[in-house]
Amino acid sequence: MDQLLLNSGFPILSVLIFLPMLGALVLLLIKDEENCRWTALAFTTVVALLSLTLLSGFDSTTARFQFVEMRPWIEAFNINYTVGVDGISILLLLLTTLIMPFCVLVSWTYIKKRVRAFMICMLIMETAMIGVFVALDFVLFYVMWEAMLIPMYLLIGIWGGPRRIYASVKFFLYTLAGSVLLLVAIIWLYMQNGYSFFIPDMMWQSYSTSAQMFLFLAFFLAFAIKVPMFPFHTWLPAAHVEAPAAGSVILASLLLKMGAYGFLRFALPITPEATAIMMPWVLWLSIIGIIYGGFTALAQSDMKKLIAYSSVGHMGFITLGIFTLNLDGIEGAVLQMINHGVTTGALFLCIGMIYERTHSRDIESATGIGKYMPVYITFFTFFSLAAFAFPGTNGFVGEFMIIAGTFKYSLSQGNFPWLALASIPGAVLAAAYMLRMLQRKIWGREHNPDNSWLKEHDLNIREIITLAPFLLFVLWVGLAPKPFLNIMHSSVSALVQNFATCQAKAVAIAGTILN
Amino acid sequence: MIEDYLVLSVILFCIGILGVISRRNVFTVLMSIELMLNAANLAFVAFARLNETMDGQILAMMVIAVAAAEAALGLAVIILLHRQKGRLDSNVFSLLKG
Amino acid sequence: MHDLVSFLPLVITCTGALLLMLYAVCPKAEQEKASLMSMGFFAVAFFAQLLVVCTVSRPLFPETFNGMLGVSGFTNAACLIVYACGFFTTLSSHTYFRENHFATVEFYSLLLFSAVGMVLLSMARELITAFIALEIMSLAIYVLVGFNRASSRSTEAIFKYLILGAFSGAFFCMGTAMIYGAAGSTRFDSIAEWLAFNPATTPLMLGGAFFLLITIFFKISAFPFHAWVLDVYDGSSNPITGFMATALKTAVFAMIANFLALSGNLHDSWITGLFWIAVFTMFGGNLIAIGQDNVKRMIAASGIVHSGYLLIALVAINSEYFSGAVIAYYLAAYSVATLGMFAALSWLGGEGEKRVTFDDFKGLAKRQPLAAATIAVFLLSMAGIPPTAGFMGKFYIITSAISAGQIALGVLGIISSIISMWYYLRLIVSMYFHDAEEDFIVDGSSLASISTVALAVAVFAIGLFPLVL
Repeated sequence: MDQLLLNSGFPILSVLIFLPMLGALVLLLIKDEENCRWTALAFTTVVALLSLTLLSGFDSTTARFQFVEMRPWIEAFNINYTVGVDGISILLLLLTTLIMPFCVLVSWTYIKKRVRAFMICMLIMETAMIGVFVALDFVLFYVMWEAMLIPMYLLIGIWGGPRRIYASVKFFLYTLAGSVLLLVAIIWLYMQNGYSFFIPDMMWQSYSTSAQMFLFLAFFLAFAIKVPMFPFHTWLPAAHVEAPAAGSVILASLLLKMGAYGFLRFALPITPEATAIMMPWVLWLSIIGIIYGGFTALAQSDMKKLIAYSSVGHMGFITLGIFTLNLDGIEGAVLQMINHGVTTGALFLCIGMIYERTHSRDIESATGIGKYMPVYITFFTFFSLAAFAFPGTNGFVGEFMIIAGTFKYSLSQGNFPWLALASIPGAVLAAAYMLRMLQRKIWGREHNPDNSWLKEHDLNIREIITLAPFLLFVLWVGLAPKPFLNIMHSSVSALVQNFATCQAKAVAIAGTILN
Repeated sequence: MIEDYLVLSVILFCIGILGVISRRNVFTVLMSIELMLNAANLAFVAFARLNETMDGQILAMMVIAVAAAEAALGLAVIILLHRQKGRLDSNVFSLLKG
Repeated sequence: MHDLVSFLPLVITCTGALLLMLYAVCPKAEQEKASLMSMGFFAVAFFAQLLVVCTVSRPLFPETFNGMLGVSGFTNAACLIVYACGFFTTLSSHTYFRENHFATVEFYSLLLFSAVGMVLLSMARELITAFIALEIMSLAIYVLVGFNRASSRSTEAIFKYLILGAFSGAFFCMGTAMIYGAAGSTRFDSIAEWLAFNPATTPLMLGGAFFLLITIFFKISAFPFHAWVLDVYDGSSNPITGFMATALKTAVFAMIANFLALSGNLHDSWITGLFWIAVFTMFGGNLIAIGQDNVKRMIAASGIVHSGYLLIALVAINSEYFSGAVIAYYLAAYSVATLGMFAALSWLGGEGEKRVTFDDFKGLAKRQPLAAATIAVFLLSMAGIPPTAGFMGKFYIITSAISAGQIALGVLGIISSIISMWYYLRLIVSMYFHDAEEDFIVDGSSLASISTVALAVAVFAIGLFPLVL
């Protein structure tokens, strides 16, 4: 139990989890659409503000879990309701709570039918997402992980575009299929650990290598589909394109992070040996994802699809960083998770705003709008620059750290840094597709469609309020990333250290067997 | 001695199964089922004799009672079927597909 | 005397059945009143059972009536499920018969009688008691299936069910005779004693158990005896289909779990067979369900799949310390969802069950958001999506399978539950993602919506606070 730290008597995490749920229940009683919007906004904002108070109590010098709450839930199976955050999950938790109010804002006029149901879905979604990031009991984690699917499925299926049914079913079945083995792995771990589902107890145990390989396979399937890594990515473009703007933002900013978070929280600490064995494969898969995502994005004319494929590339960078297994790589990956959440979320918001006006996501139909919508295009430019890691934006810091970590990894193995070199074209491709879109949107071509009517429809104050915090964040992380790195530093370095000790132990055991 | 009874019982049971499977007329099917139940009764009685307990005899009585109830219900349904379809082949099943 | 106390709920149900039978003769008898009465009887029986469960912490008399019947935590749970199923079935019948006019007072009497059979069956500790209970239950159910005498579909369904049911009943009888021949007794405890000193693989014992299992597989519609279930479910009225799918399955599973758990020898000799039957039942059921266009038939086929999951639990039974909690919990979770589904179908089905296909439910979410939401909850529970009861049920089953060393079976179970998402989602897609073509005006009583909502709440309540364990 030394991994736990109770630095607050107030059950703040439970409040964060269940407040949106309460909001959903309150919405059931409200008939008027306008009031529904305001209620949803109020609840998400309160959750966001409450979550910020976590920062003041958070002790960033320790890698232990904090704000822990533990209550028995199903005693027959020793299942507890255990929640807590460490330096990695607190950042993702904050990302979740802070992005949700903006998702509500962007849906203000975008969603016209069944507003109440939409807001209920959003709030239930928030509960489940917060639950995933703070759960310290494996059953609780799994429940939240799967419960997330339903509201997302409905968001895509009811409020989505023309091919929404195909996209929603594909999303649902794909992600559900990923967790087939996860449940079995969870139960196996439960048996191995003296019938306990407590996640920190499962970490850094010496399971046999073959068992670790099986567990890693189970984890990998579940998380790689969620990330999504290269061969498992096909659900993502379909879901992104059809989802409403808020759905795309949640999908890109938050849902994809769960896969990466899963790798960090489960795959690395529970199956260190298997991770070490599989590492090269995963790294190259990440590289393939980066390059593949870049090239496919380059070929897209649908803006949402373009951003969706660019997500495949960016998530490739994140898994690359995670599996370098050194401090720079993982810190960079966690930071990049936040960055990607912010910039890609913002890009989807921007595209949603254009779609609301022109009802088209085609780049061609939005060419040359820079002339008529200066405010919009300014925001859009900043986010695009951040997306391809322009120095001074947040993307640069994260990507730089990841590539630095990759170099270190290769050098520590005594290899020529092929990996890092291979990832460079990905970064160049990102610049290519982003600049291509940016150029079309700002200046366009010889024969632009007549978009002059948009002059009257530049961003309104609600939309500016929605985008401004994202911009602020882009610049803040870009210029002063230190505070963010500080929060996660102890947790990540503990992770790396434990991993190294585990490796050394495994090598020592292997050595004794050989002798 | 006991083997003979058992062999007879098994033969009756098998004839019953064959009847249920191969006959088309619903009456014959119902009678075949009765045959199977009676085969079981024969086995019960034979085993009761073998084990020298009374249980088997009592059980056979119980089975007879149940068989009677089943037959009563079966005949009622057959009458209903006859009223609706006018014939009693197994072919009468046309609405529900297996 | 104490025997009688633990059978008080059974006595209440039986009395109710007889009283309703007498009431039917009364010239002023009305079926609506009868439905309320039978609801009352079921409710009283349920609470009496609950009282027995709560006040008697440890079953005082594990063996009552000279070892013919037994009471344990598991049978108590099964009885509770049966009474609850009876209650909700009566509730949905109440609605159903507003638009479909073929019910008489006897309908409810028979419902109570079949519940008596089920409760006896789940308590049975002796094969002939089990046979008689099985027949009490089945005879009543046969009549209920064919209650709509005007409909030839219903007549065909009852005939098919009756012939196959009697056929399998004969197997049960023969199986009992063989086990009696081998062990010299039909009492479970004596059989267990005999098995402790003799191998289970003697021809008589093995054959007898094989015949018994054939009957059981038929009743729970396991592979390869599942073909009847679609037609019979389709041909009977919605509330009865729900009752058959839940209460009947509960009783039969309780009986067979008690039987298989009586001796490790017997269980071991069947474990490989059960394994494959569980696998084929799950996947065969899924294949059938995917091909259905009719919601009722789809639920019937998914019932086959759920039997497969329960068979996984049977494979994982440990006769050393058998509690049956996993099976009881799964049955409760499954029953709540399935009953809810049929309550909703009875409510929305309309006159002559005109809304039955997936297409008929298009756009339901717009016209009847509450009904659509509850149906979605039931479907998700059947599919085993957290945080519903169905997920917890599946979770326990997989856990028990893995702790019994059957990891492959656990994995196959999860894969099957993912395949099953396919057809559950289809209905959700119809309800939510399509525009409404009709207005879904139904002349339902207010009880219908209450019962579906109550069951939907129960789905979450059982899922989050599994008290049965």
